[in-house]
Amino acid sequence: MTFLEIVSILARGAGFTILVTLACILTGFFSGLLAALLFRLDIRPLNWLLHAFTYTFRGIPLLVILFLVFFGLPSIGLPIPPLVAMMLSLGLICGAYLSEVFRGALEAVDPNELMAAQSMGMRRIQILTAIEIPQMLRFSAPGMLNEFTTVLKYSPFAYTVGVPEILKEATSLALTTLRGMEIYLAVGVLYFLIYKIMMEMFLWVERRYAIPGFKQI
Amino acid sequence: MSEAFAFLNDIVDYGPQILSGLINTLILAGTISVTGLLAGILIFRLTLSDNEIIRKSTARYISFFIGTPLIVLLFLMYYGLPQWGINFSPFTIAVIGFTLNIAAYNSRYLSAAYNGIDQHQLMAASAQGFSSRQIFTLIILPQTLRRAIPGLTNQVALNIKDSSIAFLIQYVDFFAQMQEQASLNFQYLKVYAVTGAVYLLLVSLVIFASKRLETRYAIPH
Repeated sequence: MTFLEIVSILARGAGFTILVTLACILTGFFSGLLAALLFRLDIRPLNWLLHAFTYTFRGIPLLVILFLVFFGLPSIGLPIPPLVAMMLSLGLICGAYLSEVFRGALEAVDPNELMAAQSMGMRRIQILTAIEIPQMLRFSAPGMLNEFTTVLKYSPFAYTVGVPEILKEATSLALTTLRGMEIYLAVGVLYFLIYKIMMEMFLWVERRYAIPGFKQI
Repeated sequence: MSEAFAFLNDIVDYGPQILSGLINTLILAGTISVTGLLAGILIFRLTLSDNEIIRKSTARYISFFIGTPLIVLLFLMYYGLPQWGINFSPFTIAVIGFTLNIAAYNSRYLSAAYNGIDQHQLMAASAQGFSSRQIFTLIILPQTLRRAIPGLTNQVALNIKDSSIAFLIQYVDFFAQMQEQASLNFQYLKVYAVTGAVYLLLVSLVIFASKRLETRYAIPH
């Protein structure tokens, strides 16, 4: 079996790797955005809850949360499919980290612009969607890329709950052929390729929506 | 109430194994934090090299290890090396794999801190006849290490959390013992909640220590 054949077998799992990564990135993006915006409301009990959310999800290993969700919740009558388990663990961990990124970026928006908008008679929601969020997302780009990369690199753990992604294909292939060296080397190369492609796509989007002269923090 | 008591009883019965697992977790996390820091300093030194080939290959090293999952590297060594007749213990493999990976991240924190250093200091030092080695150990390193404390200690917290993946190469750590416990009493939810709480506590201790270190070693303006 040549190296290329190994890669082509492993590539079958790549679809699931990308699926898991995208699902977790989307979960993380929206939960992080929601948390950052709710934090903006500055309601004290809510702030405590949000702090508790970010602190817990940033302080507990992914596998512990994943196993808690995947093996723990069914024991109280809540069966969770593997992909959803990944979204509730890796996705929310990503959301916890992203909410901090978004919070910092929201604070970087010039308060004078908000005052100007208010005096122009814009409603709070308009200010949020037309002024704060568009700038915040651009400020957050480096942080988001970091977190998305982290999600990709933690996605192989989906194999522990039975998602047939790259690492899962690799372990079964390694069991039958006993050529772990080439197989895992191919896995590493494959992940690196996905990482590079993901990064290029992200940077393309970033450039596409860049505003000339807009200062980064 | 009696159910909670029975659960606690289970944990106490299994206490010695859980404790030995916890110690294994701390040993692994402690070792890789130290080796990862030292290797990170080495990689950072190489990024400052005058030789372009060294600089380029270091950049490739960092980018590769930041772009590929650590578990793949661990599996490569655990399942791949025996093929060449090399058999390492799970602990050795974990230490090598984690160190290579952590070094890439730590060198990035150090590089970011290095960018904040006043470049005139380095010019002044070389004008005074400092060798490049002296400039590194006496001027660059002390300042970058201090400035990089938040990143470096955050990495230690990550190391504690990430060490939990070592059970996948049969290293019997805290998480492995708790899984054993869960499979014995079927109380998955409770056992994993306790597991999470213990990791959260360990990480909190690191964050607390990090804040202390940061104030203690802040560079006065």
